[in-house]
Amino acid sequence: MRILIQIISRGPGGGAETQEKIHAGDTVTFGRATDQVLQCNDPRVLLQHATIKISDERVGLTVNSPAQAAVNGRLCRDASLQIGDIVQLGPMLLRRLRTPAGYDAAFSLEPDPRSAVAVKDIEAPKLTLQALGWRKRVWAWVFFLACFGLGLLLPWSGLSGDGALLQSLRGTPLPADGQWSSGALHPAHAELELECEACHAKPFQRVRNESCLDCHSTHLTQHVAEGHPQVDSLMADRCTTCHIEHDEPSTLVQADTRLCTDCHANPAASGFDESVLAVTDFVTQHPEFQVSLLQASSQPITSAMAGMASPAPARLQRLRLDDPRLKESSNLEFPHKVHLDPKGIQAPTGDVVMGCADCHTPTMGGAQFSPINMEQHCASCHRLEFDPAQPERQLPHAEPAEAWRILLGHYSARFLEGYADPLATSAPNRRGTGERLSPQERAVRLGQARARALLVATDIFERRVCADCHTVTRRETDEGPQWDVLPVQLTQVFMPKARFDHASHRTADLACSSCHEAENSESATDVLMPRIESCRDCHGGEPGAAHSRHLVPGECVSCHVFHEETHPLWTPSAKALAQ
Amino acid sequence: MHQSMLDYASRRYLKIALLLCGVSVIAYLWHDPISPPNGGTWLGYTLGGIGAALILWLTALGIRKRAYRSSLGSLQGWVSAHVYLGLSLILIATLHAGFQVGWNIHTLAYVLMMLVIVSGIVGVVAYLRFPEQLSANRAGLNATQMLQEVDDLDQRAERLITNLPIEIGHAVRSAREHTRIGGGTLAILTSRDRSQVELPAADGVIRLQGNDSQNRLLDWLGTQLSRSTDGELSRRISDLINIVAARRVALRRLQRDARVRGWLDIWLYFHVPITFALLGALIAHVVSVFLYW
Repeated sequence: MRILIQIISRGPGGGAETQEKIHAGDTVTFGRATDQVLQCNDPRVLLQHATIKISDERVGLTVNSPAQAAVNGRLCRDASLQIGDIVQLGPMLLRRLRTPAGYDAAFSLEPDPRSAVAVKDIEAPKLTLQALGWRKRVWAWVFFLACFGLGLLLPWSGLSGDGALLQSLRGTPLPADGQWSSGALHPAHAELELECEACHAKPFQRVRNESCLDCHSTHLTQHVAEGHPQVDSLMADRCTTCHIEHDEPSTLVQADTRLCTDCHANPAASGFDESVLAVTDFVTQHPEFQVSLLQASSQPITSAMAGMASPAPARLQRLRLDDPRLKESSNLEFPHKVHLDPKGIQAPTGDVVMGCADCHTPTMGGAQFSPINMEQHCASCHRLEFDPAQPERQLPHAEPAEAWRILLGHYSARFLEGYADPLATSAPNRRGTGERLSPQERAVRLGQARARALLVATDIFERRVCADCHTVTRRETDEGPQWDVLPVQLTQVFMPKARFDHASHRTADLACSSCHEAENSESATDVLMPRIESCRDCHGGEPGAAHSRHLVPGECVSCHVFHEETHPLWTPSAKALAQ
Repeated sequence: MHQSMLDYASRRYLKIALLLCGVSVIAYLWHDPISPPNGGTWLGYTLGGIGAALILWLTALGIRKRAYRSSLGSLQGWVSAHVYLGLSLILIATLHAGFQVGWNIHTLAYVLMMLVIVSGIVGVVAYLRFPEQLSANRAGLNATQMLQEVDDLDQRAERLITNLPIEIGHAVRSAREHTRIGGGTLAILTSRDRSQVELPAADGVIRLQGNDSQNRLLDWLGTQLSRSTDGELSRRISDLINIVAARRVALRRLQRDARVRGWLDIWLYFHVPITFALLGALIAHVVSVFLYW
């Protein structure tokens, strides 16, 4: 098919110019795309705007959605074009012309003079965020500077100089250096919460031990004594290695076992001697408990010492509970078993059933026990009377020389008075008041009295009263016999290197005998401290470890302290601060 | 065939991100520091370093996408990695903090980072959902064409109303003048049409009335058509109705286009400025930690 198309363009002056185009084919396409038969480079025209299909029967127009055409002023998308029809296609007018000879159809295409109004003159609605004034860059800068300036620069600038600026900044609602704190301090340090410089003395420098010692130098002690092989390595450690602040939950004292086992898992490598055994965990690897036993003095209480408040100091011996040499040497003869006889024991007031608490009275708070002494805990049964005729008279305790003098004086008086019979079984040879004895008779009676006193003393010291509990030796001197009594020195704290609170172990089903085998102890040399095994019944090792499941977790610091009271500060700076 | 940025290179960056997360979780579970887990342990420093490096690299997408001549990987690859590695930051930063939060600059940086990530997720969803709607709605028109289409119809209507009763002309002109689409963020994002038209109310007084989707005007023109007894007048009114209806379609298309573009754009107006807030807070976080070591 041959189709004739006249393309009319108008110049600025209104003059028309016509170009003729002959198209071979049955389809004329109109659009903005370059492959269109009739190409119109106007934004109001679609790439494929419309198609005219010519057949023998009709000339059909199809307009692609969303475009519309106005055929003779009527809007439509499909139309059959007659000769003389005018179609408005966007900004163009298409006319169907009378078909000239030799052609199958003819059209003309010209700009629509009515669509010359400039689109740009009409104000477009604001349909984008950009048009509404949304901006990225300006807000990016505002936010960046706000966070950077208020979060860092402002407090940092306050740090310069003497810190007065920072102090005043802290008084304002503006963010100060408190915003840098990653977590609250431990309640013990709460007062330092707003005084960062108390610990963070210099910018970009880690917290130094000196900052801690500013407050803690007076009562702080070291882990080992000066001269210990590990002193250098411990000196290199910082307080904050173990005492970490600003964490949540706040754990100022780290209980982690590894802090101890770093060295104690291999004591030899850390320079310890062989007496220090390896520890890795309370359950899996912890040596048997070691006790500090008093080795009571073997220097007896003699007349020379009479009246002295305390005997010679005892030596301390460290022994493990599985050591065959383990033996308490308190110089006391004391069987726990006899005293704890469930049937009761003979006492001046009748039979008495005794319990542990009769002698072992807890200290305030219940953690430890008060020291045991004769007057308070023994004397109600172990009475020091010597003359059945005068049971109210008692000998002084712990003063053998004085006791002998009392006995001698007592019987001398009695014999001079004529009470010859110490048991008062016969009537006294009473004389009238004021009757004088002759010197010979007096000497005889004093001699008898001395013999009686000696008899009684021997009985009391060596057989009946003192010897019940004490080791007594008799010594002959020029002035007569003397009795030496070894001083009793009881171990008060068996495990000074561990903390144990009896009060927290007082549960309903935990009797003293659960840990201390006193009922079967027949000798005072028995050490009744519980072995590690009995603790392990309830106490596990590291929390979370499989072997500690269902047990009370036990880290090293549950029982032991790092800062041993016996080791004063040895670092030079710390010493200087302490002074 | 079109390939989503999520499926780029057989999801290579998803695998890398998952590997990074997996290694971080395993390290976190295995790591048993003396103190509660926090940013100050060796793992804390490591995760923090990785996180900070990631944040800087993710921010660099803004530079890379403007560097048209860059040969440093395809932009689609960058975006794919940006999405997956950006998401992995949720885990890495949380593990870095050891789940510790508070009212401080450190948690501020964390919260800002989370806001950036959340806005980024909105962006990913928008980019997966909306471009198809956008092109379906536009039907081959570009933004200018859509506006010109309305303009064309207005011109045609203007020509028609010169031969119509004056009140019809007034109504059509007022509807054009009071066409209100867009103009506000909410109006754009919800396609709200606040157009009005001046029409005689029930009492006969001409008043401004709501003309959402040109419905009020079309109703009124329909009434005028039904009342018309003159054939020529009826034909013209009918033509006018066609034009107004076509205008309504064109306006709706503009509105839908604006809504979709609004959603495609708006997340970025949060994503970018908050990213820069994060950069400021991140610098403050890192420096302050060592300032008060």
